[in-house]
Amino acid sequence: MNLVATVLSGAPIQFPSISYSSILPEVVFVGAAVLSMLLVAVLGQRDQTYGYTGLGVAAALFGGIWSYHLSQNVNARGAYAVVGGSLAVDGFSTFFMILTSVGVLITLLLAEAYLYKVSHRGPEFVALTLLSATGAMLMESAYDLLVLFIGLEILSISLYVMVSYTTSRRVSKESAFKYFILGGFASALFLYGLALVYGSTGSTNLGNIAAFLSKNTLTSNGVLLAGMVLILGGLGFKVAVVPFQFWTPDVYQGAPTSVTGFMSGVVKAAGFAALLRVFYFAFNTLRADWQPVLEIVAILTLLVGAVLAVVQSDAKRTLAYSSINHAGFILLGLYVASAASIGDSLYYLFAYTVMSSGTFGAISMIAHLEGRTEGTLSLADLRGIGRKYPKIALTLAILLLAQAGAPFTIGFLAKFSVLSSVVEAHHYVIAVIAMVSVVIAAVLYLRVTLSMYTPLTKDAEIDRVSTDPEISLGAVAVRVDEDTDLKVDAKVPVAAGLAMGLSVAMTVGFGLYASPLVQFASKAFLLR
Amino acid sequence: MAQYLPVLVMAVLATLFAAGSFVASAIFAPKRPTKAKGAPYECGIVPRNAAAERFPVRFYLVAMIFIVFDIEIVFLYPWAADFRQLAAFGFAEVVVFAVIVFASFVYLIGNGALNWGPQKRVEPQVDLDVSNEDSLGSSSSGVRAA
Amino acid sequence: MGADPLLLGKISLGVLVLVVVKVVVAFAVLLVTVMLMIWFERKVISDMQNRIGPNRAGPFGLLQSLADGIKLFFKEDLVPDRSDSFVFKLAPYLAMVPAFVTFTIVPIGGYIKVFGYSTELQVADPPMGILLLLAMSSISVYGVMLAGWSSGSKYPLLGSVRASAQMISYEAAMGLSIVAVVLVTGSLSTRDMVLSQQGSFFGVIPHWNILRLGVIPFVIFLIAITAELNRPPFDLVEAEQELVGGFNTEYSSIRFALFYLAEFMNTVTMSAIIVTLFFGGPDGPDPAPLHWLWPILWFVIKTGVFAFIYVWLRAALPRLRYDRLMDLGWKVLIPLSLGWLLVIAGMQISKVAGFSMLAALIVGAGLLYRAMAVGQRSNATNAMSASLKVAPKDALDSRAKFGDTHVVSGKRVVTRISAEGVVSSKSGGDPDGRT
Repeated sequence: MNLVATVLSGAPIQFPSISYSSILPEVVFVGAAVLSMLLVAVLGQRDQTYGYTGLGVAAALFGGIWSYHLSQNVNARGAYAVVGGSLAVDGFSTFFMILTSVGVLITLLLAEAYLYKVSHRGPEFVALTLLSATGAMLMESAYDLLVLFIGLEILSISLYVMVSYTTSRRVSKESAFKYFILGGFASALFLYGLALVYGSTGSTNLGNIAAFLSKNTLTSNGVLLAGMVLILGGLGFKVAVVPFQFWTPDVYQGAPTSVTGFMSGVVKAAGFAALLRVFYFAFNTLRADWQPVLEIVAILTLLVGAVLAVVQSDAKRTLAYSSINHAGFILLGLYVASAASIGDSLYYLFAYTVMSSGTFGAISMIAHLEGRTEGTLSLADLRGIGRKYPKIALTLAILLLAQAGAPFTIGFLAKFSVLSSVVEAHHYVIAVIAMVSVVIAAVLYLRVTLSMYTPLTKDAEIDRVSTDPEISLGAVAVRVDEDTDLKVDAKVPVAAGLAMGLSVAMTVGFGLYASPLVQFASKAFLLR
Repeated sequence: MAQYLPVLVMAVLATLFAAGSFVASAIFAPKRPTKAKGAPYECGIVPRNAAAERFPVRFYLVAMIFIVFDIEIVFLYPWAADFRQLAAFGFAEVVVFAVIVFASFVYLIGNGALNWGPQKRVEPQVDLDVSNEDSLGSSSSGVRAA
Repeated sequence: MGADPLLLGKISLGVLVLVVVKVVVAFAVLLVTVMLMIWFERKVISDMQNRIGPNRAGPFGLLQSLADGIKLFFKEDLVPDRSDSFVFKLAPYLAMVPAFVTFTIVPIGGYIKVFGYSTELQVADPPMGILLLLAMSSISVYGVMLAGWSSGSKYPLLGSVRASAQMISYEAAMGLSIVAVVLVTGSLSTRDMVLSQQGSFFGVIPHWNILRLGVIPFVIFLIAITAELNRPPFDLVEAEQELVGGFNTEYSSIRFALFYLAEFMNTVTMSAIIVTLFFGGPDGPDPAPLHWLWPILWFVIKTGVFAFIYVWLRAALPRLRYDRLMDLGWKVLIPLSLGWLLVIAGMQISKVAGFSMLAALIVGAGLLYRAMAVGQRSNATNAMSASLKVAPKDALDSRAKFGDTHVVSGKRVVTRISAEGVVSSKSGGDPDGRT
């Protein structure tokens, strides 16, 4: 009996039991966001951003720790659903909540270090990040398509504002507008898909959908398949898989770099979490229908990402395409759709979030030190960075090599495990394609890394500058003068140092000592 | 839906009354249009420009903030109508909801979003648009060269 | 759930005829009431201003409104050349129809029996009655807005933009104070609201919503409704010193008459709505025979009192400044009505919940007061959007477009000044920045 009928009949309403301890990370995130906005309204202090960042970081730390606590609970007692069966608390959701908390932590620290220098100060960025992360957490633990949609909207709407955060820059406005229009379109796709799935299965609850589909065979399932494709499109937009990737380079380039890191980490994780749960769990019995689609999407994503990344000249655009390539790998885990491969996807997602947040942080740092506006740092600008800022260059090199899949980093194991599960499932062709894309992408990462350590001669500098039509000859003289003293005292803000340290430590640490994370990811089962 | 029948009849009757008045006016009233009568009323001065096309952004801001409160009210009506059944549970939920709305409202007030009074002139500031220009859009390079 | 017994069964021809008769009677009574209301207002204001007022047409000038109405039929009906003719003609409908429709939900008395059919003394009693009030007051905003916009003239446009901002601002406060009534009634039907107000506290004090809800929702509703109606002291829409006639400047003949009719109709209707929501509607002592008459009598008396209050407000109070008006609506009425609603809801749950809500209300008021001080300091919306940093350029643009008749020195955004009426558009200074 639905709620309206219950109310009209005057019967007592059954209230859902809300287990507040299970949704505490979300509650704390929203609470911190609201509190920070209340504080600025009452205190009128906008300049002391470290206070707001501190609040956000505390919330993120709490969210991460509490999620870990929840995951221990789940390990001990098993997975369960809360809030009237609309939110799942399982190994999967807690894993992603920890991932989201880490992403928020790095984002906020990077923003504190760089963002407020080019945009207005205040708690808004912290609040938006926390709210967006709340949406991400809702998506990750959603056990109902409607809750998933609400999470998607909370995530997206906050993100539209974050992308346009440096309003004074035209490129930022442009990318924000693109993202907004296309994002609204993607939300609409998802909602249509939701409606069609609801129409053909009679429920929006994922558990009910799975049960319905396992018990019944639809004689004409065109509506359901259309719904599935639309849901794939809506979520595919958020995770930027081909053919929904067109916005990625523009938006990644135009958004403030800390936001780009957030998008490539937290948002992608949320989108993949939703994809994995919806397709691997709810539509599991229909895998014969969606696997071929995912195969094509995955192959295209791998190749497009790798190939187009190589021909870019802008640093952030390059990373945007490489993120598309990474998305292809994560998609492979879903394509194979075995318990082990899903664990591999999760591991890859964690690895990618850590690596990409750090990489974008390093890019942001270099752009700031070089006095370039974010989004205008070209790959050529990176030449000679190794001499100029040795520590930052080393950080960037480690992270780039990890992205390429170098051994002893988190990236190696991630790529290896995904590929091995693809091979185990006897999908040899796609495994070969994935290998090829790894090689192509590796060329790029190695090229950038090498160019950072290429000594910068005067000729090379002039060569670099003259290829850049935007800098006049007068600027060349200045540049060369600067370069006579190549080693610049690079002052890194504490917050940025913390963020980068965290990222590199995880990249190398989990690369050398992988078992805890692997264990954790492989235990992240879905609620059935 | 039968209960809405008189409402519909009243709406039709009112519409007919208005239409009838127009017809009567069309029959009885004189019709001698001139150019001066057709011009917008500007206290006797010959109008030169069209009516305003642009309005202060704060009118739009008020419209947006109104939407927030209107949605809140939309949520509150069903809650209020079934308050006795929802009891303490519904009350707690609405308090949470109201606190969040109120906090954002305080934020708006604290940022002067609803200030209407006479203000100090907005001083020209350093235009970030030019100094931070970048090279993605085709339009931006021209600005930079200048 | 409210329901008119007449319409519960099958809709036969007899029922239909009865419905039409009811509607026509109500319509005719309303028209006469409006006529009387206009006369009443003019007469009372005249008395308060030590004048005589209309006294020629009919006894005590009672037929003056009718004479004015008939006169307007014979006046030339102008549609300005620059207007959007369809919308221009549509707007009077949008102003007038909601005014009539709103009245249908007002309960006037108890039940009567006509030709064997039992029916309520109320035109319609839909289960979601009070939502009709909100819907209609939203639609009447369109009437005002479109009238001003389609005129193709600047004073109507300024008036209508002001009016729509004002009306939507107070609509929020109005909606929140009605929620309080719905809360204690447990129904959206106006009949149920009236029924739930019968009886008394301790046998003497009437059990009316004004007392049950602690007066504050009533005060908020009265103020909000006055602003919603664009009645003085909130009649900035037609501030003749600044805006000539406001949104209906370009209207003449019968179209103007319909706007005028709608305005007074709304005054009567809203007086009736106040009585329904907060003063027990037709509730009152029933001492003598003719039991069907007393409720109607009480209803008419109460409504008359509020009609008088509106006239009194008009005579006694000066017009508010626009920023004060918006501040009152947004910074006082809306938060207060929201907070008081929670207090009422808390009191229904338990004393503890109620008093903790009261404490929260006081804390919230403190926060809001503090935020207002901060908001005054922050340079308007500058803190919120960096795009305002290019305001001077925009200001020049808008001056070029906005009008040569406006004479304001300096780079202030000319549109803002004239649209909000903070500074009169005719103040001194150099005439045109471009010359």
